[in-house]
Amino acid sequence: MPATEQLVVDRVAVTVPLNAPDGVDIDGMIGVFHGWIQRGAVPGTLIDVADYRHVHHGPVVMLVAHELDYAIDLADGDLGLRVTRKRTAGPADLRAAVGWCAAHALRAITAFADEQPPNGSLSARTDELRVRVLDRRAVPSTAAGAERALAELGESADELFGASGGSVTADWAPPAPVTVRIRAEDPLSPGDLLAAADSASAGLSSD
Amino acid sequence: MSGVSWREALDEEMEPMLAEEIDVFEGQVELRKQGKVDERVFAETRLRRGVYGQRYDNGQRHDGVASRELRFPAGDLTKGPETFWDAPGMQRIKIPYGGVTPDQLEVLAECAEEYSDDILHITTRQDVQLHFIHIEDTPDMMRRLASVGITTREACGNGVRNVTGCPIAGVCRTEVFDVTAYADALFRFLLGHPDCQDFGRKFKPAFSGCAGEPCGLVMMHDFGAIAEIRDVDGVPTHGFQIYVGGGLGTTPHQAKQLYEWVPASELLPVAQAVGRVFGREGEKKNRNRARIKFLVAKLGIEEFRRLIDEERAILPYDPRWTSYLPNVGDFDEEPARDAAPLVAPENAPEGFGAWLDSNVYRQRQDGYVAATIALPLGDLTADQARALAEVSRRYVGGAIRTTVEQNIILRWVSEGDLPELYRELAEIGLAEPGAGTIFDITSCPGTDTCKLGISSSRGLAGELRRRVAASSFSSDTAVEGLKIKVSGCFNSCGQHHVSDIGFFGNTRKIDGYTVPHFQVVLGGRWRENAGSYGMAVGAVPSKRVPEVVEAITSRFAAERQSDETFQDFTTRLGKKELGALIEPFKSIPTHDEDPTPYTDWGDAREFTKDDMGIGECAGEVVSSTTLELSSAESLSFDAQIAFDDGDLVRADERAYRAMLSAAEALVRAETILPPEDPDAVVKEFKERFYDTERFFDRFAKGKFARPLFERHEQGPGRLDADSIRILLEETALFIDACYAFEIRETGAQSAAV
Repeated sequence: MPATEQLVVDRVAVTVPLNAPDGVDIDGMIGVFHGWIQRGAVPGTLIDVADYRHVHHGPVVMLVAHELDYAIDLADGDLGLRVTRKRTAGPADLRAAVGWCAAHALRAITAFADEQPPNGSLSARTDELRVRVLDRRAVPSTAAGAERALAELGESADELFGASGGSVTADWAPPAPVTVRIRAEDPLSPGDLLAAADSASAGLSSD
Repeated sequence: MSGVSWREALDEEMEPMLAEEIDVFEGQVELRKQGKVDERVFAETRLRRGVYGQRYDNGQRHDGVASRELRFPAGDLTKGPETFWDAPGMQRIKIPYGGVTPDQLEVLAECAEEYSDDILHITTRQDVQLHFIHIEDTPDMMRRLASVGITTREACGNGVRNVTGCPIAGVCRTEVFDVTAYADALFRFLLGHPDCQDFGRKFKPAFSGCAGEPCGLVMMHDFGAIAEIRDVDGVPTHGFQIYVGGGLGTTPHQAKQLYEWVPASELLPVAQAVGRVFGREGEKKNRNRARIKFLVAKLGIEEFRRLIDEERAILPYDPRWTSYLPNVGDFDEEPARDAAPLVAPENAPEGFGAWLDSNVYRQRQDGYVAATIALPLGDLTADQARALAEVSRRYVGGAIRTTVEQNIILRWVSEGDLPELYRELAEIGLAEPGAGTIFDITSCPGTDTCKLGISSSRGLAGELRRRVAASSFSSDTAVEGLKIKVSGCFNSCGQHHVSDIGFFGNTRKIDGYTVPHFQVVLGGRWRENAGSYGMAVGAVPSKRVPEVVEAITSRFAAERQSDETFQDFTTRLGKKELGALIEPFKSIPTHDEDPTPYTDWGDAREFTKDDMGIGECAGEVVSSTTLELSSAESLSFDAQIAFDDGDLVRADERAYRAMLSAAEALVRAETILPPEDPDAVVKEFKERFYDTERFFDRFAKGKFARPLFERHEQGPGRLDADSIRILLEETALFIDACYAFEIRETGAQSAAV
């Protein structure tokens, strides 16, 4: 399913689901993210922490940066770490941007290891990525838009999970932004997935 | 549609005037990037488009250990004094009288997720605010909003802000009549009105359908109208009691009655006269004294009324004053579904009864109710907003209003639909009970995003909300009906003065540390259109505020006399006794013993005031002439782009519009012009400035004005590249000459006052 040309987007969000074997301390996430700003623990021009714990299935707690946002995400009701690429940060090609977001999310998740329990035991689930294409100019919330995104992200699935192991499904209804789940037949280790995401991010950004 | 800009995609969807305004603003953004617009002028320009600064936009942030520099990619480029270009900002979006359609709600949701942080925030003036937005995203966002009839114009800055109104107007059981059409007419009439461009500060209008209820909060507004029908020559006539000079802030003022009653036909001219007097007589230099409340207090209401009478008498007739009146009925709403009685379901959804008790208001129309969606801290996600739009289409045909209590109301719900509506709202997390109760706490943005915030109002409101939900406070029914409102500072955006229990942020020094506090304000009156203000009884550390609420509510529940209101209760106890009541909660452990009170709610950092910045509430006081000349410059820039794109027809048209706009800016400073009348602009300009040689400079004399006269008289000339290039150069020179003229005339060294 090769795409004909690069699909350039402004904003795209990728959520990496989290394993939380000891549960999660949502209130404690505010301190975690403030600590990340103090220590420069994750990439980006880190600006502030936004507290949306009161909102149903929302971004919960966000670490806002100039180039991207990190958020504890409950948008789908499942716990995850979402990274949103903003404006012109990183690669603009959709596939590369997805790789870029996934790589930032996976790196941020490794930073939880330095935190107190239970948040210190949070880890990445590598069987799925949820992609929201938040740029209706490039990918309108239509069947055609979803088809185009699926074609592109089908290749992302191959890049990220290996030629035989990735699949994509659209999980969306208009007028919501086109949302695609990239699933792995055989989950990789977080390290291997990070390497694949880095590769996907760099592979097209230099085109 | 990759490759197609929003400007191209939405060209046919926007009103031409809105589209042009946004093009002009986009041009000004580009000019500022090139350093061709003064930062103060640009600041006021963006504020008048609702583009506001946000905390940390001065590039400094205290991370709890030390103040750190935020290094943005655009470096030293600014979008206003001490406001970095790349720093995220807030977009305020006007929602007149809170009326919003499902289509608009969907576009707001798109903007929230594509440009902001996924959250729509409803304000205490029925606006929507989006945060963490880049300045360069704002023109496209405005286009998308304009495509569904929303403007951000004058949402901030020294102009006429959103017109607020009762969210249940038209369905209310106690209203005199539905004020919606009149609020809409005032909004449209004053938007961009030339008589409202030279205010020293903002100007907030409000409408109420009756005097007794609080929905319109008229008594705390700059300009307020309360519906009243009077008999005129035997004919029942719609009209209004008119109030002026109310306001909260550090020194709250109750509005004064300007007119006991005026017929609806006089509403707009009276508002225009008030605008003209405020623009002319209001304070300009000291912005702390520049709201109209200070002018009314200084002059006295009698003298102020005399000035308004005088001004009204000389206003040139404007057909818009009354042209809307025959169409007032257009605002009547039709229910989407037939009325049906509520049949108590056998298996009522969990929580339905509590929600029914607190969130549902029986309309005056039999069989219909208005259902309040109690938004926590005024927030909802883009997904929720989209789902709500769809729910509202099906159940109420899109009859949605935002409220000053930061909620959303669905009107025209058939009673029989309530159980199913509740189920659907619960699925999207929008069926919280407790609307209008002690659970439904109002808060300004505070230190979360506001540059002026001192203490975390949202953090405190969130914590109090959790404790109410956990039944930490008295469950006495009188306590349940109390209102709590929180402001992050003395500027009162959380409207703490008019709540039963109010708080505003301040600080105290304890143990050598700056500690976040809240001043406790008790006994404000929400009813009677915010009929009286509360009394400050002392400040307590932020982390002890929940104990204060518990103490006050317990005392009220235990000691109130029969049906004594909270206002009467606080008046009876008096300031001394109330001060004693909160006294035990003023102390905290030393920092060594427990550092927790030295942080604020929802913020792990040790507290500091270092992050406070310069507020933009008042905007820069920049003359309307300078702002209009800046717009002309943007049109000239647009002409240059069209020329570069090879579109010579557009380049010619834009250049002409730019010259016309610059000339109009100078003329408007001296006289009133009819709208959209180029002949009048050129005639007035020529007679006032050219024929009198006032426009002439020592060397060029009047030559820079001639291209305007020629282009106006002769129409488009030869549309070849050389001719247009010359026209573009002449346009730029004419605008420069207009700037020079303004400086000569005002004697100012800088365009900004």
